[in-house]
Amino acid sequence: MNNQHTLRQCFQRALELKATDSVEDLAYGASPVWDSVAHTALVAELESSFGVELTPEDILQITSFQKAQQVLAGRGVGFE
Amino acid sequence: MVSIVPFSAEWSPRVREFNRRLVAGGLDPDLQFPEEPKAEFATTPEAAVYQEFFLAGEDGVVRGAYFLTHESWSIGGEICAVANYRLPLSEGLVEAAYRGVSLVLVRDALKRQPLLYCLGMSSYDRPLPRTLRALKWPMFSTPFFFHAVHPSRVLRQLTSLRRSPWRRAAFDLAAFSGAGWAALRLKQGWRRRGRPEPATGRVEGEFGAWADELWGKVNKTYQALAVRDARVLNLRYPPADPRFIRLRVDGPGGLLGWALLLATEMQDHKHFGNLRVGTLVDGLARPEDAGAVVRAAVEELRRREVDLIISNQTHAAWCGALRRAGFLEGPSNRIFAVSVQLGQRLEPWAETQSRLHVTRGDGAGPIHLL
Repeated sequence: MNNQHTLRQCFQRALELKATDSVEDLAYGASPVWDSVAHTALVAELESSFGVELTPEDILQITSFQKAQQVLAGRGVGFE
Repeated sequence: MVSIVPFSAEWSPRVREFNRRLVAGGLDPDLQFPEEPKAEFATTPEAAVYQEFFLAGEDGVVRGAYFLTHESWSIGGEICAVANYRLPLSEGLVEAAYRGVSLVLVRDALKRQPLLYCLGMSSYDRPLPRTLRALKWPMFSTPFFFHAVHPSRVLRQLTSLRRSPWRRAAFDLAAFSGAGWAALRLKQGWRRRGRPEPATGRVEGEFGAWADELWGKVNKTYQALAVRDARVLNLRYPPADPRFIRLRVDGPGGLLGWALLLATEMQDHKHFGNLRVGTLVDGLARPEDAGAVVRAAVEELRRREVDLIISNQTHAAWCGALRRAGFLEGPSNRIFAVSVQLGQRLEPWAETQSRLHVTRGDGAGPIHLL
């Protein structure tokens, strides 16, 4: 399983999405499913799935799927 | 970039501005962060109970705030440092871009003290319990008990029971006709069972060596509870404050326990109207002596002519003692939540809930009832 797929699963679990739902178009604050509680769950999912510890700045920077990928890449997670 | 800084006096104007933005954004005006870093207790770790205040600052602007009350607990007889995570407020409550701040706050608190708890929070649909649940914090509602000493007056005044028009009408009618009084008295009477334990209460001016002696004897009989030795009790319930009633309870063989009581004349209180409310705030005894302490407390509060007596208790012995003394259980707005790390110390959680001794005196204490 590649990291792109793992990241997608993190979003699906934390935001309680269906496997068929798109995650690429989600935006924190704009998508009703992505509220502060879902954000908390998402950060917990990302940390446990990728074995990283996110900083306060990281937490606030994760505002989309693509931003999450960038933040994780900055923590050494590879996305080919 | 948001970073956590200690709340010092120079931040006060910016905290005031933070509060103003939260209220302007629709947050309950009762939920405001203290605008000056004034602690209820000491602010240095040498004290038995002390507090620390923190702000989430971004370029000199306050985006979040919380404070910790550090205290000691006895868990399985071992004394541990624990902290109460209090009043976390985030700009994210009113501004979407800062929704992550609530998580930043709780994570910062966990780094400072992994054994955290929250008590209160009103209901499970509020942002804080929802966030804590997302972090997998175990939680439960602490049982709330009440006993109407003057049922007809209580039925007329209990505004918390009168939110819907039909209930209001029914209660007014019941109070007017006397049917409510009879029904409530009957229900409370049915619950009184068993022979009362012989005990006498005596009001004390402060917690002394006798309280330490009791603490030493009984703390290991509870799975977990905040330390209740004389030093801590005199900090939480200062001897100089005449509102606190310290009732020492003795049986034929000597000291059985104590209760901390309040008898408050409410005025247009949002839940209690103008009732004279007695509160069994706190107490300590061997679990088997809880009944004697509860009875002595009720007697003392009746003597002080309260209309209603209330209490929040979690331990099965105290809950049972209240039920046997004629108390009924009502809806609770006090949720007890513990961090994952504290929850691990309290395993098995399902059983722990009735072996913990958490009362109205824990957490922020009996605020709103003084």
